[in-house]
Amino acid sequence: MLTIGIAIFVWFILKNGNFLLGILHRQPFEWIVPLGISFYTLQILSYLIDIYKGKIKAQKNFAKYILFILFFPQIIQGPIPRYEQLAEQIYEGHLFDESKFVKGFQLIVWGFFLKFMIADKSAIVVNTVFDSPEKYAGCYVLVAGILYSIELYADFLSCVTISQGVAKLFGIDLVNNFMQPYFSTSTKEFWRRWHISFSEWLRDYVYIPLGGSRKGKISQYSNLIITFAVSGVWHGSGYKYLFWGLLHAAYQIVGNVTFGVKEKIYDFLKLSKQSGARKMLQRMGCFFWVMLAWIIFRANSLKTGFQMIKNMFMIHNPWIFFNDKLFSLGLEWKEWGVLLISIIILIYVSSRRERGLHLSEIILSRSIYVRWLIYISIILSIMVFGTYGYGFNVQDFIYGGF
Amino acid sequence: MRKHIKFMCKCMIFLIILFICVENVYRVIVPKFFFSDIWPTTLTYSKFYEEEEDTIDVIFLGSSHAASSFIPQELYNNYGITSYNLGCEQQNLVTSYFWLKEALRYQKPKAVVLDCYFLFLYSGYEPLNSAESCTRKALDYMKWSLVKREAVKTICELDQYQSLVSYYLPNIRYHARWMNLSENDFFSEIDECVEYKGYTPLSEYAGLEGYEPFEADMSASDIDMVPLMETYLNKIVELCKNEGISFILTKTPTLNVNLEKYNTIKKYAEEHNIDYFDFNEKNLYEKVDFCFATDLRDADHLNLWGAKKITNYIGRVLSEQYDFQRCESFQWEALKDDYEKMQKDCELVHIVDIDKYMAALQDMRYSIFISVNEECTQNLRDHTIQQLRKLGLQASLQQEYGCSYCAVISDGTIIEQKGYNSLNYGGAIRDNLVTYDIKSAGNQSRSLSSILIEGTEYSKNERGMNIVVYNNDTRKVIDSVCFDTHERENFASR
Repeated sequence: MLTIGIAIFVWFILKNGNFLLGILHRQPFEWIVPLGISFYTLQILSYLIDIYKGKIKAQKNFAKYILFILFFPQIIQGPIPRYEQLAEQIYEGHLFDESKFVKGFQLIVWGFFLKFMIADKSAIVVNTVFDSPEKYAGCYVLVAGILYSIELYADFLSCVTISQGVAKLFGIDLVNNFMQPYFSTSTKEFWRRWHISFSEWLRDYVYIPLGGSRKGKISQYSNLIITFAVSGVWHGSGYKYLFWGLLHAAYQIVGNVTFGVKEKIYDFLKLSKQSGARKMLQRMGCFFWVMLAWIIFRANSLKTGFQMIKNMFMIHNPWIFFNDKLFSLGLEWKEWGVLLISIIILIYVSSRRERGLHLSEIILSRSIYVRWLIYISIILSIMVFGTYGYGFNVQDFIYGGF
Repeated sequence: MRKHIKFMCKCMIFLIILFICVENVYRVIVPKFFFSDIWPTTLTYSKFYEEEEDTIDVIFLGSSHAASSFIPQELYNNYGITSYNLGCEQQNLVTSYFWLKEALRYQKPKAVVLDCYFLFLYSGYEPLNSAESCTRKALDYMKWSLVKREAVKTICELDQYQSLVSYYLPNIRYHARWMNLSENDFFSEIDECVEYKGYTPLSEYAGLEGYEPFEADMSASDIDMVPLMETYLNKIVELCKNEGISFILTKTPTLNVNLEKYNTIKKYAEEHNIDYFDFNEKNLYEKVDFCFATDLRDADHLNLWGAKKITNYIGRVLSEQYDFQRCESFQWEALKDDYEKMQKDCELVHIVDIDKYMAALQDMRYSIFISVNEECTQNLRDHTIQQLRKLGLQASLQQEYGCSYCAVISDGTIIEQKGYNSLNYGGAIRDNLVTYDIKSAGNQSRSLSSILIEGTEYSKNERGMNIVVYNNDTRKVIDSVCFDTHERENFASR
């Protein structure tokens, strides 16, 4: 218990110390926060708790323990592995596996595509709008909100995909961290698909130990609030992260409370559970609520976030979709074209995956000429059309900052 | 094991194919500057490597001041001296030094002439005293060697905003270029391009009146050189000394030097026993019969006629003081005809007599666009009609008051339209690579002239005969003029 306490304390002080000093009107310290600390703190905690509960045995070999904690591909942005998922894989020897190597290569290329063609391109527009909230309102905020939702997903997914790819080169499988989260039909489902390793961690080490949904609705809701508050604090110091977490808890509680009403509305509209229109409506609704929360998450402060959301609803400027105003946000029309095509490719790949079809398998089933043509085309496309290099401040992986 | 070796071989082949593809992408995305731009830096440096080894006796270095002032072909024609102009836009002394080192890998020049404009502050916020983009222009087409490696390393150490990796992987520097690719980027036949051994011809007159050269006065104050530039000037001097090359400093005529700068360089030259020729100093200015009003293209750069004066003076100095002997070289002989043509292009933009102009247009290198606005027939004379006939135009314009008329002459093909309504014609020249749209409306309709080439409007859109001349060799519009053949004087307007 002492070691668990120390791990939490060190992480909390490093991540939130300056925020607390700010509340107390004291000068902040300029210290260096270790890269990926939030991720391996959770990894260490799960390891310690599992030992405490007797689920696993402590690793006596210090080198092996360090290897498990600091396995390099996942250190920046996860995924957050459990000891039983990863340890054996990295301790046992791996013979060179051609198919895993190729799949790893595919994942790395796909990761760079997500980063340079979608995440960093979107970031230009997102940063323009969010850095000048007093200048942009109405549909500008809507566009920036949608693009930030995509940017965050593409950015996080790209880093995790590259991590998975690099690990696969060594024959090691890292857990999937995403399952097409924007195809979710409710925020509850969203959290089963978004940052899965973190959601499962919260479920197993916070929500269930608190009692989960076993002790009645009131207890379940308060457990949800605590769990999402922890999620918010984990993401960063500041009220906006806490509010963002609580907002997601509120979404789930309201979703639960209004479940019956929503079902009646769908019945009235004759939209069965299997209906495509219903799914589409639910997906759009879920995306909208998640996007609102992301605006709070991305804004410079909680107050700015509220103001931006208010401006989004209160100010009507739909003409920006018809004149050239969108091209004044940092991307020329050609770059918008590349971004939209790349997003369509992401949606296509995600929808195939949603139906259990993996594009990598399809590519691998083709002849060597087709495969190489695809690989080279993608690499050259990223090289030519990607957003990076001179005159552009490379975006750090967003979740690397947590 | 065999399976793994086979897989490794496949990986190697894949990487080789990928490398070839990437290399070709680099060829496209790295910017190219030909005569369709003002400063044809790419041609200057690419063509340098085509020169036969040990055939160049004089190398010119410096910024655009040098590039537009020293004409190797003029020097050869009049003095039999073989030279190459390695000057380029905003060439700082660091770049000059490394290009001299590179040149010495292929040539054994007897003299190096440096224009010293960049010894003084030009761009205070640039670590190398000139724009990063211009340094890139100069280095991108230097062949990879130890010299280039040293140049790149040095430049990136001096300028923290430059990225060393981007010299090896140019996509990092030019990642956004795909949005601005043009014909030049896909044009790989640099051998076919006309080039004047590094010289950039400029044809306009600045018309800057009231400027006078300064008188030498060594008692006046001087001004500090930029320390980094001075360091590299010292290195150039040292390099020339070690290689037994005569080194000459010059300052071509410009409105942006003064007595203080002159004194600084003069002192430096005396200390190092170097000849220094500043054409902004009154004695020399008058000796070369220079005229700021007619020999400058703008405040800084010489036009063809100014450049000829400076080049011939340098030629005289080299012959008389440095004992250069007249020699014959097929490389310079072969360029004589092109040089004549270039001079003709420069002269074209100053012709104001319509008959002489039409006579000058009888050249297969030109694509000619004619479009009439309002009225062109009232004072269109017989001898002008005869010149139009020589160009191949057959339409009868006399007695057709207020008619619309347009014509295109290119590669032996002639298109003519005449009528009293608005005329509109679109097509393409140079094997359909360059599109145009031409409109004409006489005063019988709505009085208009439009000549769009690749979407850019070039017509003067004034009353009379609007003419646009496109040079098929240099791939750019070289003149746009309107002759008012409605008025008796047939005024030319540019």
